[in-house]
Amino acid sequence: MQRSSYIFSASLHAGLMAVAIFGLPYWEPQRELEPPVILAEFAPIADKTNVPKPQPKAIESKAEPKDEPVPEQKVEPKPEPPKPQPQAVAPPPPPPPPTPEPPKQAEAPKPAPMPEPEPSPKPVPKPREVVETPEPPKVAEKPKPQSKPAPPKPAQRTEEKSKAPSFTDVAALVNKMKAPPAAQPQQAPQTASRTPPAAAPRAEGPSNPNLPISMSEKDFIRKQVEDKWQFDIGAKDASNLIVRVRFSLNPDGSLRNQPEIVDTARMYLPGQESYRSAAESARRAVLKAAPFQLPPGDKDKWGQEIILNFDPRQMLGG
Amino acid sequence: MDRTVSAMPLGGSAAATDLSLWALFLQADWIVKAVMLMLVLASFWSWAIIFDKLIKIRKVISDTDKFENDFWSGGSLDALYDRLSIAGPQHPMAVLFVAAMREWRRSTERGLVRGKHGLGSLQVRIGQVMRVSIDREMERLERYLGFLASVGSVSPFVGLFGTVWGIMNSFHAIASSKNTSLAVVAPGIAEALFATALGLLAAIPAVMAYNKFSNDLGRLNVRLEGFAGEFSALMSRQLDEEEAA
Repeated sequence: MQRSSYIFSASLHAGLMAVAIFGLPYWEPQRELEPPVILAEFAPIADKTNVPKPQPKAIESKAEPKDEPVPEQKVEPKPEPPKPQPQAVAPPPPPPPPTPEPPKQAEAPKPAPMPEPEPSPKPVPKPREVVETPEPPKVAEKPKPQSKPAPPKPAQRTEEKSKAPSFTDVAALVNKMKAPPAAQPQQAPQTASRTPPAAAPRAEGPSNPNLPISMSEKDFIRKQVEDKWQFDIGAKDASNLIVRVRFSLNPDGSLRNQPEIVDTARMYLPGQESYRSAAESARRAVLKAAPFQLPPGDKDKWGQEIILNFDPRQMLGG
Repeated sequence: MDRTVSAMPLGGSAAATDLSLWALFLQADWIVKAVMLMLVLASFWSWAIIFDKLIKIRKVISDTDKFENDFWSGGSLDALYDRLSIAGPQHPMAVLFVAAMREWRRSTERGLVRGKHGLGSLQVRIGQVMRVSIDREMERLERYLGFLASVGSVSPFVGLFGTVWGIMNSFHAIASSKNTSLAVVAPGIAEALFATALGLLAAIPAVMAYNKFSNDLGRLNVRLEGFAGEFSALMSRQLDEEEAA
């Protein structure tokens, strides 16, 4: 055997290996698939959904002038008491306008300013409030009464214009309001009312079925589900059993399709039996709560897919 | 929200498995690793043999062609013998010729070629010498071809063994993780199949080369025997002519 043949063979194999390890084109596309591992996005969603941003402030601001009157408002007997509220609340809006949101929206619908300025400052407090599950739902319900004062306002606005010089341009701004859809979804639940006058707020935009369902509306639904959710407190690893359920509703509040668990794969992993039972119970809870009571406002948008996070920690009050 | 929902299945499916060949080798079981190493060595060795034989056989054939031309050109056989024996015979046919001529010369130098008996035994001796040298030369040329043959026939089985072992391991992995998703099994199966791929990679060239070389050598063998027959016929005619003279 000649030495050259060994060398030849060795170099051939080395070259082949080099091609296989570094340069084989077949393996390239698979490597590109790896980057999109973005699993860290769950937490922020849970926070957002739980946060009833606008209402707490509204409550607080109103709570200062009158602590108890809030329940009274639910009765909706007097259109007049609400008026002072918006005005009382109106002063706060001016400070928020400096926040990123366009000043038009802040001023335009007087009820609206209350929720709008809040979102910007509130994101910070949210996480704390998230812990207290019971509260958000209540809040979600309360805003409605508060908003009711709004509908009658078309007339009131004019009055207010005279009262508050800062709102003179409101009429013009109201027209502009129709244009920006982004801020409206939040206003929708609050401004919209069950009473016929709702026609007025609807004209301002909340009726767009393409608008996303706001957090407070979700919380309104969540509360109803959580009331029915019988969660096993003693389940293993209970703090990690955040269940995400996906479903959509008909305008009358019934389920449009069967609720689905988003993370179906996890249900069947070994060692996740407790998650599975939690997920199943969450699904049952949705089914039990089925004819949902929908928040006032446009009902068509509930046809959208809703994904709710159910966190046992919140259920148990932290 | 949409973003995270769509990110979930993506994140789940894109388990961090590296499927490059080197990673496949590294994450293999040690038996599979041994099988792979064996196959790589076999491939290396068989390719070395292939190159060696390729060069050697081609050279032998071209030398043989040249020698036959010289032999049948009508020149003096004694001169040809002197030339070859000084330089040393380089290829089987020259070795054959030199062996026969040497036997002839020695016999004639020592005066053994006397009478009918002496002539007959000289022819027998030359035939013997030529047959022996053919065998020896062919043996020299055929050395290592057996290795090619066995690599060609055995290495697929060796690779298959590695594959079976690797797949056994990956099924064990299924059993232990209780997860039948393809992501659990796929790396093991890929690494196992890699062993079969190596076995075939070693076997295919070995088999092809073995067939080619044994064909070439068979043809060379036929030529050598033909030459030996012709040469002994030539010699016996010469001897008969000398005796008649």
